[in-house]
Amino acid sequence: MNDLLKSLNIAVETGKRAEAKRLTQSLVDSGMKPLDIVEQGLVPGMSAIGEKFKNNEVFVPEMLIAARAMKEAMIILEPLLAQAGIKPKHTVILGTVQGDLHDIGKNLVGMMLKGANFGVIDLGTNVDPEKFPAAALEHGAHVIALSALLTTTMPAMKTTVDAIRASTVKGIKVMVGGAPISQEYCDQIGADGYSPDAASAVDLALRLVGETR
Amino acid sequence: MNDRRIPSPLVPRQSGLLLSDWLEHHGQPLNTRCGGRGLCRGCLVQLSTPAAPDPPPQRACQTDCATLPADLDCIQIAATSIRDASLHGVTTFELRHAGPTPAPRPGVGLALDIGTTTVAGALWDFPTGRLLADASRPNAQRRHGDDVVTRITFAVTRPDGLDRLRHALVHDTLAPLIDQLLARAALPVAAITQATAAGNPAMLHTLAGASLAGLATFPFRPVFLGGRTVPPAEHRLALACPVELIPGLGPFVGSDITAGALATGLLADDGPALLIDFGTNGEILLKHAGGYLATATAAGPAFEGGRLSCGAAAGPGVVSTLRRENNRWQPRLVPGSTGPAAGLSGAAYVDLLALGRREGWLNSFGRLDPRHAAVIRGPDHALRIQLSDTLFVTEPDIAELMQAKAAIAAGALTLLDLAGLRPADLRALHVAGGFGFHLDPDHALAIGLFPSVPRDSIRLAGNSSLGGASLLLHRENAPDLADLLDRTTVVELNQAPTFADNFTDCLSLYPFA
Repeated sequence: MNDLLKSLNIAVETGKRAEAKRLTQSLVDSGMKPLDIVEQGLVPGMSAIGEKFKNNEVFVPEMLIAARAMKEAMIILEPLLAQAGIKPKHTVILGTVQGDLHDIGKNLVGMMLKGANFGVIDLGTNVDPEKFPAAALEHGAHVIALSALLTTTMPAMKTTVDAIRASTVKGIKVMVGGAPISQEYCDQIGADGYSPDAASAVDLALRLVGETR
Repeated sequence: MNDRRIPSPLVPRQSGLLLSDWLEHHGQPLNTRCGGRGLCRGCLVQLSTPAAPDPPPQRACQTDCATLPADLDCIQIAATSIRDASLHGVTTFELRHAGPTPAPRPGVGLALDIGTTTVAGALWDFPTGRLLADASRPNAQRRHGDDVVTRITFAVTRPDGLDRLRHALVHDTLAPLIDQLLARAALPVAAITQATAAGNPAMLHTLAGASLAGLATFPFRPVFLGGRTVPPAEHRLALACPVELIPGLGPFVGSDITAGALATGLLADDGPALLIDFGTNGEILLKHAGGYLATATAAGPAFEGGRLSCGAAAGPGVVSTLRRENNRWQPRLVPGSTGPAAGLSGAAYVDLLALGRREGWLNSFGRLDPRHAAVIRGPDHALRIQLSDTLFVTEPDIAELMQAKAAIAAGALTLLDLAGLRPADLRALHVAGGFGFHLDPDHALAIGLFPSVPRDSIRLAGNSSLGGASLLLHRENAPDLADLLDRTTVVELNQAPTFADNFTDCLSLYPFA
């Protein structure tokens, strides 16, 4: 069992998606609990590559390839987790702001958050400002994460933050990211946190919900 | 890299004056590709003083002249910060269009290709059908950002933004280009009787003075997409004739592709055919049994040398081809220039990736193998390939190139998916743009930049946008375009179901799936 978990860690870290799928299925078939597979099989691999990314030891292509290997494994595990009634402690509402269709960076953040045991509700791209607080209310979320890739769509991020603050959802934390975004812009629009990359986004989300790792 | 040193510069210590602006006005324009917002590293300079001759680089666009050190000794500008003067190959094109031969008539025609980075023009003699002159120059709009989105932002966020973009394009770029063409042909401006222009919608909108607001956010609503004739009273050029803007296909798939489809002969190709136009945006057109699919893909500036340690556009003094013989690097410069090498062109980077894969010191994830003699550790202790004393390639450079490659390849693959085709079904692959000019097709195939097609079905077309604009000086060629415009579907890649997966697949350095 430990060998299989170790192999799954390596398969995720090196982006071998067919291998990650096969090993995950083997672990499921052997009767291991789905949550244990996530926590011991997938999370260490994804965390390892996230750390290396922050230290400039690996770069965006490898991160994306690893995240997809994890995604393939999660496709097997997510229905089982739901069946078993496992609910993550914290939920994040994620989306790309109105007028912007880019989602590769946003999807990477989503995968990293899942890898840290967050529940992730992905609203997709070109999301109306009002949909974020509505989804937060519906899912009892703790954090809203906004993405924008274009300088032209940055203003929609501010509109969205304003819509969240004006809504009935209270005490929710808003985090922002995307190529043109900076800490300065984050402060300017009144968001609660900015992260420059997907790996740091996990640390930020944990900090926003009052946990540290 | 070959840095430029400006000794003891007489910069006024004026508050509110940016160092990048002062340098621009004193003949030293920098690569302010983010539009001077302090987001990129295109304008890094070092401010040397006797006490600190080698200080850390800083952004000139964020440096107020009032804050310069009193004992400033010299300003050192890294070669990657120097805005490129000219490009090689942008006026070269091949006309494969097999249309009717236009009837001889009096007059002189001007064809323009308005690129985001470079503008090119050709002057034609109608009675003889002869090319009188060609010329190119950098688009002066680059001082407001090196990609279209940055310029659109500039236009919509500043009250005078559009006017300044228009002035940069018309007054600072097209007017001197036309003067240069006329000087070469020894003709007065009154000789020009007809003019056509191809370019992406943002460029053609600025030429016509139309608002760029509809191009800023999705859903995109350009003021015009079809052709438009800009009369002499409105185009602000010295020309007595109107400028005919060639119709585009979509908000980010411009008439450079319409024109390219005509010039490359793709419209007349038998069976499925693909046109890839490498520019700051990669534009792709697929011809299939049911019609045409077109898209734009954000390849970024890597293939033009942007964001890379030693990257440069393929101009004089830049390495255009890279070979390796007996474990020694053999860089070749852009034809007609002499050393020392000032940088590496996109084509040279493609050579490097393909050679690394072939010789085994580069794996499919873009990692260098430290056990191989070609791979060393740089002063920063990170792995790198050292090509010469000054030229090197790092793993972050390779990661940047892999993303650019994946954007192009996944764009092509996604169009093929939508048409129900595989790469092997393609009968022709037309490669347009300045980048394609120096490219080794075998190397592009080896790293999966091009779909896997037989080598002899690849055609390097050069600047097919300028070629098409030239053909469209003749009305006989217009009907071919009408069919293309009628039967083209524009695809927004981020909404195509297979794009994200294709992008991840195409990141690895394998030949195309």
